[in-house]
Amino acid sequence: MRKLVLTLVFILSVSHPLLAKSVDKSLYKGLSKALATKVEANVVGAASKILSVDEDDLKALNALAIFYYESGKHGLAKIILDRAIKAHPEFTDLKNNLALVYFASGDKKLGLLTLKDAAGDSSLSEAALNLSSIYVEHRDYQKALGPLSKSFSKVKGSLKSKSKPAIALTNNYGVALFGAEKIKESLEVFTYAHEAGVKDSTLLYNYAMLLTHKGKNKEDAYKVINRLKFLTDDQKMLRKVELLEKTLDNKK
Amino acid sequence: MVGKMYFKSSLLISLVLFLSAGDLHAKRKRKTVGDVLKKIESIKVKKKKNLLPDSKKYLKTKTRVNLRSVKPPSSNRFYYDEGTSEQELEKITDEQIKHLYGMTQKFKKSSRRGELWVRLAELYVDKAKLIELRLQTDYDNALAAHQSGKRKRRPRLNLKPAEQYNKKSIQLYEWFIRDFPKDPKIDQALFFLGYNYFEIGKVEKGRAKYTQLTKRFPKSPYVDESNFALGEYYFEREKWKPAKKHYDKIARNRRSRLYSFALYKGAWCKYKTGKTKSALKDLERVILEGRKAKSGDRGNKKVSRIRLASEAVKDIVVFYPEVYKVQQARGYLNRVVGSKSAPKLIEKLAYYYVDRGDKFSAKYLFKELIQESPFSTRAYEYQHQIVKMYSAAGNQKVFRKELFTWIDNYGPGSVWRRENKKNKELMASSDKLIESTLRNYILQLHQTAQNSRAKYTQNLTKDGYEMYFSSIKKSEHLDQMNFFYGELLFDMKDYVGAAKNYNKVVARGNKAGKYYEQSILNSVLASEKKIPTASEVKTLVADNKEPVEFTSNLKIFEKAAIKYVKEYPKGENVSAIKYRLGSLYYYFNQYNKALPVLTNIVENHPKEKDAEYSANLILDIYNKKKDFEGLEKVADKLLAIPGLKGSNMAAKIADVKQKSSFKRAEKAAASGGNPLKAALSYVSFIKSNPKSDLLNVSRFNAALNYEKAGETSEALKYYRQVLVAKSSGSKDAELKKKSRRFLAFLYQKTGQYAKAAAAFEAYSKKYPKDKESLNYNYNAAVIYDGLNFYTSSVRNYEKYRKGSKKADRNEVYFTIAKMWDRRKKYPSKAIFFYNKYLNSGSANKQKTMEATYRIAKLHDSLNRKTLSKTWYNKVIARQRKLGVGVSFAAEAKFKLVERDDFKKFRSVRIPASQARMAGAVQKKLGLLDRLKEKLKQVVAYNDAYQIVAALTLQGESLLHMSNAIYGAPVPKTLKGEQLVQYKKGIDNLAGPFKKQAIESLKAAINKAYELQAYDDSVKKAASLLDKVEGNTLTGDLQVMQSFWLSKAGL
Repeated sequence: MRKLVLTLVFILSVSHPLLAKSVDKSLYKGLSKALATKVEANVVGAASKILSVDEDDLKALNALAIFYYESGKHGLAKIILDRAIKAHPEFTDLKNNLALVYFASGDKKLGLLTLKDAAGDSSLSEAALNLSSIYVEHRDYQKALGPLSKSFSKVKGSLKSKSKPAIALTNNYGVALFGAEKIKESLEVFTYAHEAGVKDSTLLYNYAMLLTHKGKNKEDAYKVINRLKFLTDDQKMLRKVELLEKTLDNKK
Repeated sequence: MVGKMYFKSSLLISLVLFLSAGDLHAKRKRKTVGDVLKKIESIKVKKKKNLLPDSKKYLKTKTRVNLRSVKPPSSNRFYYDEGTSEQELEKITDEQIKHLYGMTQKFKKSSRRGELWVRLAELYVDKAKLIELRLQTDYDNALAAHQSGKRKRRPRLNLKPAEQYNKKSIQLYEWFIRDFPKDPKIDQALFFLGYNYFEIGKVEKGRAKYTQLTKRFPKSPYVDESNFALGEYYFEREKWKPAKKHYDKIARNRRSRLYSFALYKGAWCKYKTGKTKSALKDLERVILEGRKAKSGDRGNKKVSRIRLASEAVKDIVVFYPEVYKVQQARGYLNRVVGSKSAPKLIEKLAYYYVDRGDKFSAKYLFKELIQESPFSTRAYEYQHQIVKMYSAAGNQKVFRKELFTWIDNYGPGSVWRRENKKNKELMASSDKLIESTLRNYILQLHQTAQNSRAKYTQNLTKDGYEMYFSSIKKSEHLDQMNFFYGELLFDMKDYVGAAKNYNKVVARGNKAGKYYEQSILNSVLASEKKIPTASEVKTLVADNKEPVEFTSNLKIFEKAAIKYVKEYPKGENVSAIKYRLGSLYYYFNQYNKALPVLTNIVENHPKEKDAEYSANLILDIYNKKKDFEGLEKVADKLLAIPGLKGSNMAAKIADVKQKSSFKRAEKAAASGGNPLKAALSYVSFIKSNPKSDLLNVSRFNAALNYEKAGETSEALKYYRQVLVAKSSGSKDAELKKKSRRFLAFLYQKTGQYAKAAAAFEAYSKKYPKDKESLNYNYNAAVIYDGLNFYTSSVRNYEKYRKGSKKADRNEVYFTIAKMWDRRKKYPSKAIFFYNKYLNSGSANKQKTMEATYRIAKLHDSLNRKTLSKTWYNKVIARQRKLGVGVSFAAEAKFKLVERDDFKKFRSVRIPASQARMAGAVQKKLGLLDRLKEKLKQVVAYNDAYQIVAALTLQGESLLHMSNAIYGAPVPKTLKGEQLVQYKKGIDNLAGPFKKQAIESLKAAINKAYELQAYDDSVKKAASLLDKVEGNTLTGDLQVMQSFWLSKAGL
């Protein structure tokens, strides 16, 4: 990418608009709509309109990068994010996205480093949250708890809207609490999610497991197990649920 | 990219004007109309060569007269008395003839008929003479009328009517001689026969009759007449000697009636034969005879002699110069003609000398005459004659001296003039003559000066003019003289003096005069000669942008030019003069004065070349003022002039307007303040000039300015228009090239990466030799790679690699290998390119390590055990050699340990046979130790991930050892206490391994958390630990992998 970068530097140095123009808000709306279509021509068209006005526009570059990231065109996503970071080095969330591109490209080590760089000292950012997920996945619960706790308090209100990230965050927060031997708090988180109407089978299974093994009221566990059985068609999940139910049955 | 504007212009119609295409971008070689016309042209009016007027003939020296060809007057003049009426005489003669004829008829047989015949014959002779005289007189009158143009045809002298009477006379005389041969009047008959025969042209017969008479009747009174007739006969035929012989016969007789005649004619014969002195003596005798006759009795003979004497006096003037010197003239003439008549004769002699071309003698006599009476009216004429003599020939110094003497002595202010002032007519004529003489002299001299261009002659002429103007204050010819003096001074390059003289003509205001208009014009031309040169103008004006005042000479020119233009608005040269004036205003930055003058030229002289130049200057004034809007407006005004429609000039103006429009856009762009305005100006130009040859330049510049203004989509639009426009030359091609390049970057800039990649590649394809092309291939490759367009990416990488001469060109092998590696489906291709990279001799150690490692991994993934082992070892070896790539070496080392040592360790099973059990355990322990040692080597790399991996593997191995011991078949023979002891022994043996395994796994986890080395190793460690510790719940809990993308507020 060296050549490209070099050339870009040239362009930026000589063709930066002398008169900064503010981007019309309608263009952002257009971009949002285009992203929803998931059609490359629409997204590129909408983004280029904004970039025509401001070639460093953060939202347009980021949206474009996300589109390519989600399209599996990680190389281009990385190019665009590099460009965006160069224009907005202070905006660390771009590094978060770049880290995700690294992860998606299989470069986990670089992804983790970038994510840590993005998160910095913040415990309330997408990067911190993503880092927490990695911590939870690798059972480094203590590190995960801080960001998850703060994020949970922010997203728990949106659980009712069935926000997948919020559900995942809640689940992982519950797991982390359990891993950190905060059983009660863990159960409270899962209970909260359950009561919020979360229908995610993974979260409900974890909840059911906790209730089965650590709960005081078997009925609560059965309720969750039954709900889980009702919600999922995943045979593997159903088998695991049946085993769990047997465990519960055998519990005195 | 922006910041460099394409084009250069200058308004010039090619002129000029102004715009000439130049270098690409802003390096402008401006060339304005001013630059083009920056030479001060002189007025294109060629000063007319004015012919000097013809000078009067009298200034020419009289041609020398061949005085020897002069003859005395016809002798007939002396036969008849003055005042005789021929008509009356002829009438009487006719009556007498009629009467006598009747008598002859009546008495034709009479013996006295002879007398009647003679008398009638005499009358016939008289009649013939009268008719001849009449016919001759008529002929002379008709000839004069013909010569004066009053009569067309030249008259012919027909004497036949007279000859009829001569013939009748001859018949009668012949009859008389035939019938009366002894009659006493025979001599008379012979005389008249001779006479009549001569008259009818029968000369020989006539001469024979005369000869017969002189021989037969020597004492006859008709002998003298016959001799005179014969003398006249020969005289007329210029046979001077025989003529003189007959005259001499008469001159011997002083009493002869024809004595003086014979002397006079004989004198002429002598003169003609060179005996001038003798001839003069004879004339003196004729004069003497005349004097005698004057004092004597009256009579025809006396009158004839007096008249003859007066002719002789006149002829003395002719004969004298041949015999005596001029200094003797006065004494001689006093003696011969008397002191009273001498002065008149001296004057005649002086004039005769003039006719002879004897200037000295003539001047001598004239001076003598002047000295005699210096204030006489004639004195002025005598000096004039001297001047005339020397006017065109002879010694010019003498001439000028005499001329100036004449003017001094007789001109205005002279004593002579005062003395004669009452004679106004004389004064007027003398003034006129002096003026005309002096004028003609000067003009002749001027003509010579014009022809020769000799400085000397020019100076003489100049002196002449000065003399003229100092002497002549009033004359109708003053305009002429001032004008030609101006011409002379102009030729002598005294332009100020010339202009003064022209201006005098103008000041007199005789507009109808021949010299008025030319003088105004020449005044302009003369004053123009003194205006500053181009270099002087440059110095005067320098870099001044403000109006610069005219120099004094320029002001003179300006005044003259304005005067001419005002007086002759439709003059032949008016456009050239206006242009000169207008251009001078232009050069001196006096634009407000220049514009109306130049505009006037274009409006009133649209077909003139000056109109074209003027249009150029008008446009350039606006150009200089950088008032391009104004320029375009004035261009429209010019184009609206009817006379310009369809002309070349109109086309040029339209072109300039077009370029101005472009320039305006360019100016807006150059100001840098408002690139959008500049872009819009170019767009306006494009719309207004859809066929302009600057269209593509404008599109390009519009694009550049739009880009500068941040209107990238518009910039893209115009760059694309440049690309699709028809090419019309190298500049166009260059614009297209740049547009193609800029488009690629703009696509990239606006996030249109696919188009950017295509544009980069297209550029490279279109301009394969361009130094940037390979880089653009690289750019295209990178973008295509990002878009997962692998084939396109590889194609561009390859182009780059093949074309590039840079040392790092083979780095693309690594990139291509990585691309194949990422795709996972083509490990062999990845290995191939990694190998190519490694074989290319790259100096990049990190990539070398990574490539080596990836080859090992790919072989590993393909289950190529030997190859993968080889390559893992290469990784380790290269790390050691290169000093970089620790993580790769650590992982390679770990992979080898895991794959070989760990596998070998695990493969050792503890048999049920007690005999072999100990051996197997021992072997396994040995392998475990060895494994641990190897893992220590892995840890020694100090790579976080491999430390965790090593600890995990060590924990797993220990756990395996523990499980293997615990899992060893229990000998069936053992029972009871032995079995208890056995199990205790197993515990003792396996327990520590388990404990160590837990410690190792925990260490792995802790190390991972500590070093933040989160990967599968730590997960594995945790999982193993769960199993060891029986903590399955935590492991069973499912973590949801969900990454949060930052939407940046969108």
